[in-house]
Amino acid sequence: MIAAVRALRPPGDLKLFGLAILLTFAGAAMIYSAGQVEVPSVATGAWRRQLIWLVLALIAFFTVSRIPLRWLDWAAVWFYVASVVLLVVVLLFGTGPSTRSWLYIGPVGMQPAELAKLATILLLARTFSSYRGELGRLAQLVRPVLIVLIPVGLVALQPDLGSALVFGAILIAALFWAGVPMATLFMLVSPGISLLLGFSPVVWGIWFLALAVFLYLYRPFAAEGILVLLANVAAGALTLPFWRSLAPYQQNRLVVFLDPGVDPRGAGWHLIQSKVAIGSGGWFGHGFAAGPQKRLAFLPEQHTDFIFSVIGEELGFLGVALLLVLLGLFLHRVLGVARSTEDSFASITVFCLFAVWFSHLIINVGMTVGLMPITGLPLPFLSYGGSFLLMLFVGLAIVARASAESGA
Amino acid sequence: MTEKKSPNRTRTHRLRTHALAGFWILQAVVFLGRSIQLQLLDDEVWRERARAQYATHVDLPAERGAILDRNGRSLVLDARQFRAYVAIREMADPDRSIGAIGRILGLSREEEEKLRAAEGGWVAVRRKVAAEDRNLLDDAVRRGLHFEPLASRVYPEGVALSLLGAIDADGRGRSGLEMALDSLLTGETGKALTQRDGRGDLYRLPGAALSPPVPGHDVVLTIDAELQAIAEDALSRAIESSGASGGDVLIVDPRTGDLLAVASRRHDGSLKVPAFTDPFEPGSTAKPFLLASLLSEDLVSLTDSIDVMHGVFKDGRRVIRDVHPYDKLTVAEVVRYSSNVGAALLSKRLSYDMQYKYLRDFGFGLQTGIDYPAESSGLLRRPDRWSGLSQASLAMGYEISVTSLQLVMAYAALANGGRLLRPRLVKEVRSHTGEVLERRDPQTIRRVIAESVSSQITEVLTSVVEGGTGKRAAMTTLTVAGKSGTARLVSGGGYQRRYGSSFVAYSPAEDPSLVIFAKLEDPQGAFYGGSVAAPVSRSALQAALATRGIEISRGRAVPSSFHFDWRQAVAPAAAANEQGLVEPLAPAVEQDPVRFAATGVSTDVPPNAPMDPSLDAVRFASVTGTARRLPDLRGLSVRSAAARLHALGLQTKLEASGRVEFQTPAPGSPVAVGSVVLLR
Repeated sequence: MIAAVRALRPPGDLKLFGLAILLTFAGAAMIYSAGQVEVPSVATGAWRRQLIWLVLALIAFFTVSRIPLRWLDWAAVWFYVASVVLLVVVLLFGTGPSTRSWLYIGPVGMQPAELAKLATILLLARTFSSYRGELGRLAQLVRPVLIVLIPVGLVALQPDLGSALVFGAILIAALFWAGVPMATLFMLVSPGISLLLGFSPVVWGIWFLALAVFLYLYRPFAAEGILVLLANVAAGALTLPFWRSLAPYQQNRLVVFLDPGVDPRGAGWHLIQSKVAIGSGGWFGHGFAAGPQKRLAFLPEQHTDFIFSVIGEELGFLGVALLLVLLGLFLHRVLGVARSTEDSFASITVFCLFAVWFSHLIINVGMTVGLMPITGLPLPFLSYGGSFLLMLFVGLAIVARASAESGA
Repeated sequence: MTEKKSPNRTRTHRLRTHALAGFWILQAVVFLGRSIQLQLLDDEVWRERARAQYATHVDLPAERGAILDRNGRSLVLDARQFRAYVAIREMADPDRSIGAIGRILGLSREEEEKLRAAEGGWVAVRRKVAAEDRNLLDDAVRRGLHFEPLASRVYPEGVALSLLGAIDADGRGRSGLEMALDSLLTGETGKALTQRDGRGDLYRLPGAALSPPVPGHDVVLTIDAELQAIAEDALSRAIESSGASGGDVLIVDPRTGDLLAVASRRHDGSLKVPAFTDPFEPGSTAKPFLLASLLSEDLVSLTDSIDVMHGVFKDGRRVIRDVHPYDKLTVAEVVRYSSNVGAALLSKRLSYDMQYKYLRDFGFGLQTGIDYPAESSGLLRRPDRWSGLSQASLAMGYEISVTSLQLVMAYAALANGGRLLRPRLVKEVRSHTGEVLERRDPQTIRRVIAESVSSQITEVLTSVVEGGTGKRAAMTTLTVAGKSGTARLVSGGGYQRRYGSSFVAYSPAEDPSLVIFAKLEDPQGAFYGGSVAAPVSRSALQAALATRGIEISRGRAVPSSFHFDWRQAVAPAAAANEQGLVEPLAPAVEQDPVRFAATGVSTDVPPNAPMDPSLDAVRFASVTGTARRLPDLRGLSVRSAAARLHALGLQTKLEASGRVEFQTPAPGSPVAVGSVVLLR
């Protein structure tokens, strides 16, 4: 009996697990609230499905947390290959409201991108942990970049902009935690900045000059410097073609982020309604399940992407602050595991998971309060989403395992 | 395979964690700052914006006022109804919603099932929904139930439809009195707080009326529903039996100018009142006005004798003839026998201005000022535009066009001692609670002739009925004064062989309390006023006198004081001047069924008390009197209760709208036809 209980004891950091469970139940409560609307909605009853998914997620957690990390390290390549195959498959057979991101096996749907994030993390961790010595040269980074670019390309084809951004975050996180010098990191990221600034030739020109000055002072290998400059030129020149290649709804999302008034009934709708909901919450909110914006179906996607807006409307600033603190505590503990873990593979993996969840938090909350473009990324633990919750707990299991292994 | 972290990397991690912490703190500050900005600083702005999005008002339609007859019987009532449509897919909880609908509307189980089974689109609910049920439904079913307004006026008495007019789809008066009285009848629209959802659908919040609707005022007319029914019936029968294309029957109280009945029809069947709007040439009915002006100016006396030239008078290029020639006639006889030659000759004694003045004073060529849209003023030309023939023409009722209303009001002036009254159609205006807001008193426009002249003319017109052209209007028991007229109808710019036949009568001659005007257009066969229109007046008059509630001075109704025996063909020659064709006098009325003694008593019967059924024998028209038992009307809507009572020949007095909660007499009481049933 005692042995059975002990077998069920979650490995590793118990507080981490407790926080995760607490947040998941808080999420289920808010998903329940999101279903309390005047208008028939798919959100009604979603909380029950979320709890069923939680059971699956817990099974997955206890299963995965029993797998030694060495096995994951070893399986990373195959795992990665499988997830890339799935990403190809979803491009061919996927379904979804606006993106081909869902695969259905019977009634159970899953997003291969979620799986690919984990696989990419594992393979990146494996790659970096196999490097010895300093990571100073760009050439050393070709492999990690490729590892990330393949799924990014496939995900962008769906097109799932949010996930593509998360993959970017994973790469930067892995480089950052693997000890790549900040200057190298900067050179690596610089083409992305060029891509952003390419809209304005003047601004891009200033940026390019600053980059050139930096390269002159930093003095990398000549080939590296030239490569970086060329990449920046190419990115700056590609900005407009890339912009045009985006689907109109994606363009709109980016534009309305700058000015929601451009299209208040269309793409700006989500953003305006989210701000109205959160803003009208005040200190204490309208009370659990009582938010009128949500009840009257003004708030879109209220149980998934915009669950934070429901929290803001119904629980007010206090609810928002408490939630951010809880999520912060959770992330802080994950970061703690990444720091304390002796094993390099485990440390990078955990840090990347931290980065994924952190970027989800920033992108999702930033979106609902109008600080980020709308990308459709769920808020960890709070948003409704079965496979997302499942992968969350799988990731959590790895963190718990790493914590247990380093503590042992 | 894996590598343990080097001390170097641990140091890196420590440094980078610090850098990360900086970023993290920045992020926390930005997010919390943003939350503070949105929720704590600008919260009012956002809350206002939220309210602006979902809080909205809907108008609550106000009940339109009723139009009542002079005795408080409803001529037209508001009965806003709706057709309901169920959209099951919009309902959050279809089972509960359909159950509520079924409960409120009293649907059968099968009907409910049918609604439940309907998958897509809107499905009409078979029952019509009354306004109060709609309010209940609005509160019970917040989504998925849609309403479409239906025709919203009901006519419990079924009379005076063209006078009352119609409303448009927005519930505003479109014609007739509905239009003329629109500002009074229209209530004040109320407002209810309503929510709009993100899809733009609206729904009421229960009990959230910001301002309740204020029902419109009720308007009490001078019309008497019973007389109106009599007039309409008399007119339809006359039109049917004479083959006329249309006609008017107007009943006016000459003492007040009250219009008691307005029946007016033309062959086009349009919903208007031609008696107010379509002028015609009055013909011989205008002759008494010539007499009135001559007498007023002291130019003749009734006994003066004039030479009527054997019925042929060459007036300039025109020859005026009488159908039946005389050598000499007194002035009274000129009117009595309707001599055209006599009238033409007498008109020459007046100056143009004098003749014009009197016609104008009697109200011709001017609007009467009735509360009715598009009243015609008729046509009376100024003397400076008259020709040499005009005086004689006007004396005979040509070269002038008048509306039936003008004519009946002018006769009312002859009847009441010489005062031209403004026709009164609206008696008072009441609030929906029954409080009298406005009383419209009778208005004298001017004195036209002296009382002495009036009584002389009444004497002459009484002799018309007694022995002259209008004898068919004579009554066994009341003295009747009257004058017939026949004029060719004008159409397409010239006179045709089509005639308008009219008759005006008032009674009792000594103290007239009713003026009845009857006109038939284009009757087939006998087209002279005396033979066609007079019986209409007569039957209407008879019936009118038979009804209770008419304040007729019955003290003067001495039986047979001027008894005229229809079987004695008195003065057929005199009638021929008007009639041309002397038709054998049909026994139109062998015996008067009217027993004045009985009707006189009936006025003293309290309106709610069951009446002696025998009294109802005197009642006119299709209503024959037998006692009935009053059905139980409680719980019915006022509208259907009123309709049932009407079908039983009973009258309705309403003191409420909505549902009947109380009725008097009680259910099962014996009631006589014509009794008044109070519903509350």
